[in-house]
Amino acid sequence: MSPLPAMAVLLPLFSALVLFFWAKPSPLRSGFSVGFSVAQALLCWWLAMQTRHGEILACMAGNWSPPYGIALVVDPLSAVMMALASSVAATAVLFSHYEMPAARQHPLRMPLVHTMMMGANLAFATGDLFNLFVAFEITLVASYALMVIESDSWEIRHAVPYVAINLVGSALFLTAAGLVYSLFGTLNFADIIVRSGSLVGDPRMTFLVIILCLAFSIKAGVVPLHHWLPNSYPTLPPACAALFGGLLTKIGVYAILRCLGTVFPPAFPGVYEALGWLAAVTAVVGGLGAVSRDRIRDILSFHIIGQIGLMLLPAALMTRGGFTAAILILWHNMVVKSSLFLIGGVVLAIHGTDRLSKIGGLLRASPWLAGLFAIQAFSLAGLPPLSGFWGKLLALEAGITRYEYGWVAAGMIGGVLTLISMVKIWNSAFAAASVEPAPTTTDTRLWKMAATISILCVLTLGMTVLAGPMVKLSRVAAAGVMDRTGYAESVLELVGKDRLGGGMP
Amino acid sequence: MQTDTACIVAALFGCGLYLVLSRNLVRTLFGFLLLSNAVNLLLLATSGDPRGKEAPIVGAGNFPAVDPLPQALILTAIVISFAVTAFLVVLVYRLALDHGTTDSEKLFAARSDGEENTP
Repeated sequence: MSPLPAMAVLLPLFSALVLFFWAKPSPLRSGFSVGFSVAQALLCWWLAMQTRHGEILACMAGNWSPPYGIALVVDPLSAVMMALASSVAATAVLFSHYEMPAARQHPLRMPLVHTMMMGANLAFATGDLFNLFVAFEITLVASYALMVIESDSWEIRHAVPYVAINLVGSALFLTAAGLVYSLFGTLNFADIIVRSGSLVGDPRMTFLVIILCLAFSIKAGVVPLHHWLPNSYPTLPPACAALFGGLLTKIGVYAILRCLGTVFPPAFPGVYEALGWLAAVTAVVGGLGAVSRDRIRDILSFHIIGQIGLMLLPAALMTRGGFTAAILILWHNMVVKSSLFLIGGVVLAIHGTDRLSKIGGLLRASPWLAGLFAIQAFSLAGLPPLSGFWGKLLALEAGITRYEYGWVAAGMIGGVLTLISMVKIWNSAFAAASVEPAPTTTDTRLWKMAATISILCVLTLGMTVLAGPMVKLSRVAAAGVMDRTGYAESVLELVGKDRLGGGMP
Repeated sequence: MQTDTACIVAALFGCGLYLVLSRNLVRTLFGFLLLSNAVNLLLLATSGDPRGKEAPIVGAGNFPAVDPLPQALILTAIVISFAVTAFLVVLVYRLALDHGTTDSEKLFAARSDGEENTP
């Protein structure tokens, strides 16, 4: 029993409530918002340190004995996800402080960002399927509001497909939760593991896994359920886009890893095969979309889809090596994707547009920004020795070990397309000759924005230098996710292990 | 009893999905209302056949009792779908005010090249 997992949820809830009632923008309010998001990041990093050898921290709400209370469970995967997500959020909060004067920001932006963080932390920490649904909804409702409060009457149209498809996804998820309850008689992850022993190979369970995968795929933006993403994300202010890109779709991927790896016993193998092929198509379609677009934020939004495909490809192998690769790509992507969106935000602030045909000369005007972009972009594309390379290497290894050459080829094509589109941004925005009027970078605000992005860049470089420990940590996380018995025992040990008598797979 | 409920849930799901897929956003809104109620009914059905069962009150000796958990789940789901529906109503209303239409084809027809709206 440890109160830390609950703290990670309660801290952003508290700051969101305070910021909601403290509506008048002031430097003190911005300071409070930044301070609390940093405090939350530190708390989550501490959680990650506590679980780095594979420990599991569990906390029962209201001190009810499991499986009846709501369980909050933090294992290495959730802890590192929370740590990276809250670091990204803290950076985005700081960035939005410099992006525009506090008086011009919508007073609800900060409370909503903190609410979204609370939902994300709850989604990563929960040990209960219905609670996962609630966490998804908290995050999504905050994101719906963030999407519309600062968009003009033209952009607001793009919120409609986003809201509509996510509503259908939520209905599907809730249906699946109801069916899980009627089949297992419980919604607690650990208890489902205990009771699913006798249901291995049951077609009803395969059906459940399909519905859940469908619901999570909608949230993650897997082709052919991706269309809402690349049109809606570019309408967001850059600081929010960074948060959405680094966080929201990743929660869907996390939920897929958790449900397929930990909660449900192996279903009919065709399900994983289908997921793998969908991921392969996603990787290629996302890459092609990115190459075809002409605005930095559009390109980055399509990249999200491609990267989701690259994460799910190794995960669909359902081997420990595959999960390790998927987790490493996931972690690396959260940091890199957000900082690229923030760099796009600086370009937008310098030029007033991020359309590639209308910008240029940034290498000369702002070499620091160019350097940041080069590191993050080529890390995303997976050039050695940057952090993106190691995840792709592990994925390649896992794919070849299982003789899935089609999936490996799709992943490679997706990677090459990512590189092409990144080179496209580099050539047009940074290396090309300057356009008229020449970009001015004398504003101190721009320097502060670039300095903020440097925080995430340090994180990427840290993951590059510490590639060995990172790979080791992702192996521990993958082992933790796939260790169903260990997970159930750790959560249920509060009521003694005799409950885990027969029926374990 | 369970078969009847299953048929109603199926009908609600069918009508709801049909309306959600419609081009008119007001119909999408009503489709979502039907969908969320279909899911609520499905959750209610997971507590089993209620005939011959008592309300679950501790100490009253009511046995066999109805499973109360699905009703707690429905309560949560109703609150969430209420909030989201309110949001969707306001969104559709604002689109109708700004663009003079709730037809998504007309809404997305003009300037589909993604040109920025900044003056």
